Amino acid sequence: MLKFLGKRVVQIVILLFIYVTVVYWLIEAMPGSFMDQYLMNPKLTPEIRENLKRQFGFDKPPHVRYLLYLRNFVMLDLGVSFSYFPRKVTSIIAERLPRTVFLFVTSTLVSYTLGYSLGKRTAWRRGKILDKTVTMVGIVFWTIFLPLLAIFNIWLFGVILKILPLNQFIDPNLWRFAPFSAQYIFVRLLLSGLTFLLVMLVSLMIAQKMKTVGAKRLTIYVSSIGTLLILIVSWILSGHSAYAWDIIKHMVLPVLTLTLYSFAGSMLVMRDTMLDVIREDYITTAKAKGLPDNVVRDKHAARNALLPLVTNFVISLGFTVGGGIITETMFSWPGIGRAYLEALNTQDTPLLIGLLVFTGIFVLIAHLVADVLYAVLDPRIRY
Amino acid sequence: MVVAEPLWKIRLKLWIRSLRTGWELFKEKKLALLGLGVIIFFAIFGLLYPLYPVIMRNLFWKDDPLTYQTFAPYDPIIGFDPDIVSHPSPPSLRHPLGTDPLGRDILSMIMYSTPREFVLGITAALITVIIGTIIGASAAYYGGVIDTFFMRLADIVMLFPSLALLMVLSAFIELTLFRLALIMGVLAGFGSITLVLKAQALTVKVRPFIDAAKSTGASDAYIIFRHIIPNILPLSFLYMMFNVTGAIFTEAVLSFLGLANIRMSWGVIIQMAESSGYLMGASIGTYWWLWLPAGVCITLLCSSFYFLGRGLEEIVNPRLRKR
Amino acid sequence: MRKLLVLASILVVLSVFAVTINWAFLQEPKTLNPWNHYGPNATVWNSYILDPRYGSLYGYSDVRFDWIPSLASDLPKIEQEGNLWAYTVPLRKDVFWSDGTQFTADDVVWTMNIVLKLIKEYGLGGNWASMIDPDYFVKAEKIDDFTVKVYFTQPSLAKANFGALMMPILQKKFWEPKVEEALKTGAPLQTLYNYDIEDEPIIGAFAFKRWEKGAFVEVAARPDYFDKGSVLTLYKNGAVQISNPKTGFEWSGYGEPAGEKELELVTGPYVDGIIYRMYLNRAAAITALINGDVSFVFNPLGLVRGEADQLARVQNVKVISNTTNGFRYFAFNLRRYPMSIKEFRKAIAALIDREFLCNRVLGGQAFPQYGVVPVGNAFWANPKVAELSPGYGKSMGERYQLAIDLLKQAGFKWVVEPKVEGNAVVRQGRGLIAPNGQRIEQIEMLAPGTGYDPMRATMALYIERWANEIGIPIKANLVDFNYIVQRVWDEPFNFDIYMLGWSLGYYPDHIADFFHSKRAGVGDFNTPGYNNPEFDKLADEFLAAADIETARKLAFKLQEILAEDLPYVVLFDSPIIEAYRTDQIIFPYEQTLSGLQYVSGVPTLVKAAQ
Repeated sequence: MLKFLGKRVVQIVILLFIYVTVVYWLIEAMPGSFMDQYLMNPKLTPEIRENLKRQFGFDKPPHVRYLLYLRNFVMLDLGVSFSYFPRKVTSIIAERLPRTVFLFVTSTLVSYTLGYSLGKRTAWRRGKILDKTVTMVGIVFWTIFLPLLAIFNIWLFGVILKILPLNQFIDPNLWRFAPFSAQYIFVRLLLSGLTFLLVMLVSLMIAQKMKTVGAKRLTIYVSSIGTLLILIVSWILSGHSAYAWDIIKHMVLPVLTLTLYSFAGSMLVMRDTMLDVIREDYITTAKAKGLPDNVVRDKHAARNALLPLVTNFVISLGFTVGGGIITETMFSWPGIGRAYLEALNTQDTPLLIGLLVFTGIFVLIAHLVADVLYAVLDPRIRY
Repeated sequence: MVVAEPLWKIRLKLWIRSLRTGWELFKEKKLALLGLGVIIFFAIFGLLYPLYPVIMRNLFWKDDPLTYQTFAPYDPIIGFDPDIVSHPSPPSLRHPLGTDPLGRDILSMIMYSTPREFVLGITAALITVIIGTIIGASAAYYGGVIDTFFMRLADIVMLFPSLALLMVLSAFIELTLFRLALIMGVLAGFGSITLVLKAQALTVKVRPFIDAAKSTGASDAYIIFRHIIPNILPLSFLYMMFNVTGAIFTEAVLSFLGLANIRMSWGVIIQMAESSGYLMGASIGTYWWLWLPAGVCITLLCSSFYFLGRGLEEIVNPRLRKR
Repeated sequence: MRKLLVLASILVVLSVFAVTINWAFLQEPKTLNPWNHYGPNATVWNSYILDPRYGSLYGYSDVRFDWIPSLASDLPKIEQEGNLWAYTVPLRKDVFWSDGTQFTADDVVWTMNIVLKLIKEYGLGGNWASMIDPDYFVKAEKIDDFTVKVYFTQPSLAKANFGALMMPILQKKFWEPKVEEALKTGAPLQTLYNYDIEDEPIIGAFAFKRWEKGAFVEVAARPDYFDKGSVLTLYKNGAVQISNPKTGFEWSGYGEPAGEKELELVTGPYVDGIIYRMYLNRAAAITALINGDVSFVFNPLGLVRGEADQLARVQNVKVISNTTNGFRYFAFNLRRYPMSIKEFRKAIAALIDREFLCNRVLGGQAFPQYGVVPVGNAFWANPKVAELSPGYGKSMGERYQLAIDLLKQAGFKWVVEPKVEGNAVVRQGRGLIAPNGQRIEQIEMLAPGTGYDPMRATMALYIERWANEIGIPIKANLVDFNYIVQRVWDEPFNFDIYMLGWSLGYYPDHIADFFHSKRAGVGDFNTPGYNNPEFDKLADEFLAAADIETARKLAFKLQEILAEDLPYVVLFDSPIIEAYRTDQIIFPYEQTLSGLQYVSGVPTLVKAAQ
């Protein structure tokens, strides 16, 4: 296993270099350059534009610039953005990352949970009305044009029903007098979420060791509800709860839209694997033993069907770092996806490469974790 | 016993029989049948496109041929109806689906794009699957360096800013839907599909008949192309369906974001509605004909290919069949 | 306890009347640092917030764009001193920075000289370098606390009056130590750009309060704004009067301040604060306007038809339309054959029925433009230019015939000659042969795609069709903006025809800059390669003009020459459409060149509706 990990890590590093090179030259190949926007200002003479060019380093030929960039890259310096000159790329990414991660991780979690739950139920009741309707609805949402779905949801919930805020991720009226920035709250929210997940994981592991069903249930319920309560109380005590709630309120609509849009994916994967598992003998045995339907479905079938779903989930998590351009645009959620689109449009090479590399690392690591998980969870697979 | 019939006849009969069993199974799945029906409908719809302007001209423009000639009101790209005061206009007899903000007839735009969307989807999917199958089978068969190379290549491709590449290309070659399909097909062919097909090919590789073939001196190419690939072909074909959906959808998103310079497609229709500001608030309801037909077409075609794929999946993978 | 209650009730009352208005942005500003914004990172979103913060010696009056003193107390005196020209500017004595310091000649002299130094020695670029042009600006000198002398190599409206004398003035006390510090570092400009501007003292009426990245920028009104209560009066006879009743400052010029008044404005601020909210897509911002979350949406391109239609139907929202200071055009490459033949260019221009395209096809979303000075710039636009355009006022059939005649006149021939009957071409022309016997295969027209600008794309396709009808083999290539830039500026000049647009400043020195033969080099403005010695002579005189009337006459003449020679064929522009909530804010006027966004929404004049 260790050898496998070692080899993969080396491969990842090599991949990154190839990736950076390919992307760099791809952007160079794009017609025009970042300097083009200055052409449209009738007040800037060519001399002035030459000065600007020098500032951005465009006076050097492309391969020199590439080598300079690579040298900085090796020292983990992602350079300075053109369009946000002179902010460093890392600071821009750091600013946008918590917003993106919070939104997309939450919606991936919700979507996969919904997919899991629906998937196992429809596989269990295959061919019945529930199966057919859910599958059809899921696929229709899967293939619906996402921008239209987003517009429709905004219109329905924001304009007609007026129960959810329209856009942006915070309400300026509330935040005008806040003594800190939204970053602060986002990071704290992320930490809270992380704490909760960790506690759940630990409690699950402890529950495994428990002997009786009752003890298991108790551990899980106590730890989950307890942690939740503690977190909520600590938020209220800190006095920042109104702000955190504001952010959460603004997140509901995008999460809802994304979940509707993508639950079919995980649902179908779950359903298919379940259908495979259901054929296995031990399911028939469990049913023959007289165990209640739910128990057979959840404890025996679903658990064994989890593998592909979990690996998919891990890989999806890798991609959440990249955000989603359409979602972020439609909901005015300025995150990494939007930054990517803007950098592409203005040909801001350092920012673009920085974003892509950042996303790339996460995806590659997620891929590696997924492979490892696969081996851990399915003893038949060996590397 | 001597077999009287020639080999090819036997093969043909077996093939027809398996088709028939497949069809029986297929017919049971209502959703897949629905999908197939919708696809056939769209195919006919698209083929009927050239007739549409002719019919409309004879119905409504008989007494004004000069205006018709000058303005070509049913031209999907630069058509314009000068007899209507304000565009976009709601559906009427002359324009069954209304007109867009530039005065073009929406039904003709949709009909014009339909065969092109088909070409886009099927070409892209076909290319993807051909490339993916060959790579998947080779990677599984050879293993080792070749396997690692293609898997890492797949990693890069999945991370690849395909958006950037498409923007770069659309900037200097005029991207027709066909060319876009070629590019998307090639890109996707090296991507995640290779992983899936390789996994499947692995299960074929370990079967005894492969060893048997090797020991009788079959060349690598022969084994790959005559043994492994035919056995993963059903899965490939299946994934082709899903790739059609992906291709049509990607093009729609690209056009919607205004990133690819495609002259006309369903995505371009919606993009025109959005950039003219008719896709917000109450306008969504008032100007429904600007986005609903195109959106419905995208959804219907994509989902019907998907249903078709699901239906085929149950045939192709016997373990998914109902017992 | 009682005091507390009183205080609380006062606060409550104040908060009831303390009105903060909300405005929507479609993009976030890149920077609020003046060095950066007037340098490499200029965006219109920065300027909406930054322009009202600073003052300049001279500025434009509202609506009429008269050139009037702003921080100066009178028009400058111009006289020659040796081989230099000195502009003597008296300063107002009643101007104070937000930290209480008085505005003096020190600030002016320091700003101008340090900018020159940064440009010459450190390569400061962007708009700073266009305001202080090292070829014209020599130095600024302090005569006394309230008089400044600015020296130029020659008098020039463009470089002096509308250049250095209109640049933003920064406070010496705050910035001098910071600049010194920056100059000592290894990357002085970058350090300058990185300075935090939270505590920067300003002259404007709204102090920076907070920038919540990605969400909003908040500014708060300054109760001690020096110009509060000042009255600006524009008279119908052209005169302008400024008077500040609090400090007693008075100025009038351009005629007798008597007779009928055209406009009278009293400077505020009338609101307590402004929150600029960031929306990333237009639908979101418009929906916010409809819902009442914001009162005004900033949009440098204006609203599109669908949005305007929808807003027109909403109660309490008023939609206004203004002409723009810009135009969209296509340019010929005069270095190539047959674009170098004047009749060829005129023939193509004759085919273009702008009225039909703008009024019918584009449904009134665009209005025709004929000359290089937009019609909205009433003072400088030559009204005769439209008539000089080939085919003006003619029907489609007459246009076709005119184009054919022009081509024949120049010696063009066809393999199949086109025939026109009535308004249609009954026999399409084919096989165009140039006067030198060469067959013209294809003329490529590079135009923006439908995703970038559907209006220009549509025009290009119509021009393509009209030209093809009479046998001119134009092919419209709809491509990315960047690709056009690459072909035209980088390659360079690898084009037959390209279609783009310009957004202009008020003073039209572009008439000379775009077409002077010395500007035909690589990367410069004269992309068509127009070379006309008569034009060059007049253009030089225009740029060196010292008084407005002469400049205007020359500008008119230049426009006429361009209308004859047609290196550019100017097509159209779209009016800028804006909307605001009448139940939340009141604007002092609605008609102004390029809309309210061009003047940053006049924050010191906008009132909250009762």
